[in-house]
Amino acid sequence: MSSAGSVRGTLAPSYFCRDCNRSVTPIPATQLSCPLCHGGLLEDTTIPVPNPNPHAQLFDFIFRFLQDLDLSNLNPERSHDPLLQFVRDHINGSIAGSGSVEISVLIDGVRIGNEPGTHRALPAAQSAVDALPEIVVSESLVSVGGHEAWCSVCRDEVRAGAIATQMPCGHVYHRDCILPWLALRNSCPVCRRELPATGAVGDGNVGQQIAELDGVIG
Amino acid sequence: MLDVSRVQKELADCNKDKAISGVSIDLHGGDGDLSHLAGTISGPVGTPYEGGTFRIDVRLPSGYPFEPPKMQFVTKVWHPNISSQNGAICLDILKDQWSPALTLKTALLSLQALLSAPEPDDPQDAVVAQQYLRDYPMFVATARYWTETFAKRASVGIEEKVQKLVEMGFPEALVRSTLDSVNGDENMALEKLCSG
Ligand SMILES: [Zn+2]
Ligand SMILES: [Zn+2]
Ligand SMILES: [Zn+2]
Repeated sequence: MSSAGSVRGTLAPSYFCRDCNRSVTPIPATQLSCPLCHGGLLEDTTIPVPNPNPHAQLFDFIFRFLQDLDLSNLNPERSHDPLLQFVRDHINGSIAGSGSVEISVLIDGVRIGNEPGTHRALPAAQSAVDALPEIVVSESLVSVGGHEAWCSVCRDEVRAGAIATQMPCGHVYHRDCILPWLALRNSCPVCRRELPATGAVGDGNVGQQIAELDGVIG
Repeated sequence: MLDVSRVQKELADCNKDKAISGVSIDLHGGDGDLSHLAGTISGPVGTPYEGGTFRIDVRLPSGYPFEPPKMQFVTKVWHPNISSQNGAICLDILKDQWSPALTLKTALLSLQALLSAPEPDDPQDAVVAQQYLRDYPMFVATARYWTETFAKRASVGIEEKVQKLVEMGFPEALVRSTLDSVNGDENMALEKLCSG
């Protein structure tokens, strides 16, 4: 049985940011910088521990998979987010054993919205889509946090000065990128938070209109 | 319309760290068709799939990335959530839990995770699932045997063969598909490449 510490050591290399004076986990696959302030003054504080956990490699790639979902960048205030909660419980928290139970939990965590009774495949209400603000992307939005500067649909940069559509969760997308998705689902592609269901009875949804335009559905 | 630029970025991104991630993806054929791709995942350590290389057929619908990629195991595999007959996969992120923020790489990583964590209660292959639940040691032995038989033979030293043939001047994608079609036999592949 490996300790939680050793598993954590494998999963989330810990660095200390000299700029914001706290321990952070850098965003992988980018140059090493602090995910909070993007400062480069990072000190490696990962404790090198031999990892006896045979599933360490597995945890590693599931962790990377989750980070690809941009979880590392989620606002900690968003405590209602089930994915964030799950990461908190199972990755940053106390994975102590090494069995497939944890692995199932890890995978289950990705399967949010799959419980019976949750709405599936609902397009966003037209009124909710209309209400999405178009923002001019500011320098600070681009330079803080990394993930806002990136449209997860086309995987292109969102540059300062560009016009972007901002979701209630704060994630921004090119308008042309997010509309076809909202025609299919009423959720943010990155954090899966749903748009408010402001659509009253009789309110058309954006789905039919967009589907007619470019045949995304089907 | 298929987002060609995104797919190209994804291919580059996925293959950048394939040695670490254990997953890779390439064009399926030499004709540059971005809607038909060939993925590989290496069997997770500590599972009956360890040591195997599993080929995945990947087809991108015209609505990609708003619609999920269609993935299917080409390499035969013994697993409750993968059809032992045709390689069809039961995994929700490839169905209604897909999001355009996911990528081909994360989908392949999820398949790798699925190999590590079978879910016999939600099976794709009822026979395998039943064996998994009733006779786990037999399941492990069968899965291991299938890995030895189908996921290893053709892939032993395949990278060296690919490199050798590519150095002779054949395009890599064509080399891979040709080697595939002759079960990894280097001489037969060379013959085919020269005659074709
Ligand atoms: Zn910082
Ligand atoms: Zn975009
Ligand atoms: Zn979001």
